[in-house]
Amino acid sequence: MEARGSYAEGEGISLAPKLRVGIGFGRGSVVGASALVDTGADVCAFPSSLFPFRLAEKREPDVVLEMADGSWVPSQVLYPSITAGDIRERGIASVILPGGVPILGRSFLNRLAVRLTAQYGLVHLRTLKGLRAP
Amino acid sequence: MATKIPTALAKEVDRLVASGRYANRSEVLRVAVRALLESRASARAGGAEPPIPPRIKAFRSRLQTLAEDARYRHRWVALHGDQVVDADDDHDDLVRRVLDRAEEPIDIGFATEHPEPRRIRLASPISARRS
Repeated sequence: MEARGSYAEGEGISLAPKLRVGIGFGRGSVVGASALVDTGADVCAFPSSLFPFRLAEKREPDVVLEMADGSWVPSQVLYPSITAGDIRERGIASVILPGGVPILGRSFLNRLAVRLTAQYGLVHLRTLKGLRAP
Repeated sequence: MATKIPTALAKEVDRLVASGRYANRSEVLRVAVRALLESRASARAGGAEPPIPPRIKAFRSRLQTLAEDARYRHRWVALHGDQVVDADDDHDDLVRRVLDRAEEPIDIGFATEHPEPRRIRLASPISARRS
């Protein structure tokens, strides 16, 4: 199983690795988005505006998010399924934020082999048989 | 910006205006809102912790209670209300099974004598722009 993305211009000075993903909270509750591949993030993060439906309440309610500016906020972790290409992973630890860009963090990336080749603009993810998230 | 406040609070505002310290009601509200925003900003800068919601306090208390039970001590537990619906040593295995259950909400936590929130880092993205 594999998924391919590309490098895209963002707001910053360098191109950003991005991947089209589906984020699902059960049958009929799936949205698509272009997400930033971000190995610096513990978990995936998605803006609440992506979801026009009620989110499944299977959650870890007592977590603290440390943000880029050093501030931190109480939050909760949800566990959607994430699909990319023909890869589908269930129970991906994710947080929902009031704003920001969709981020694919290590809760998703650590289940896969990730290859980023900026010079060719290639983002390549593939599953590994027998691999389990550390 | 129009706003409604309780009569008792309005009387206190009028008293402040009558004292001569403030020119009118608008000035009292302006000063109060500014003070509120500044106090929140300084609390954030100083790393002060926001109050813990009652729901989370109750959840931590339940985890503490469960830690006294040998079946759950130092294990991940899944709670539907006050009821334990599943438990496992492995967090991810528990999540996989919880996702197949019909009940909602289900809260997952670690049963320990001193429950603390897990810390999650979202240290990026940091965006640099050319001026």
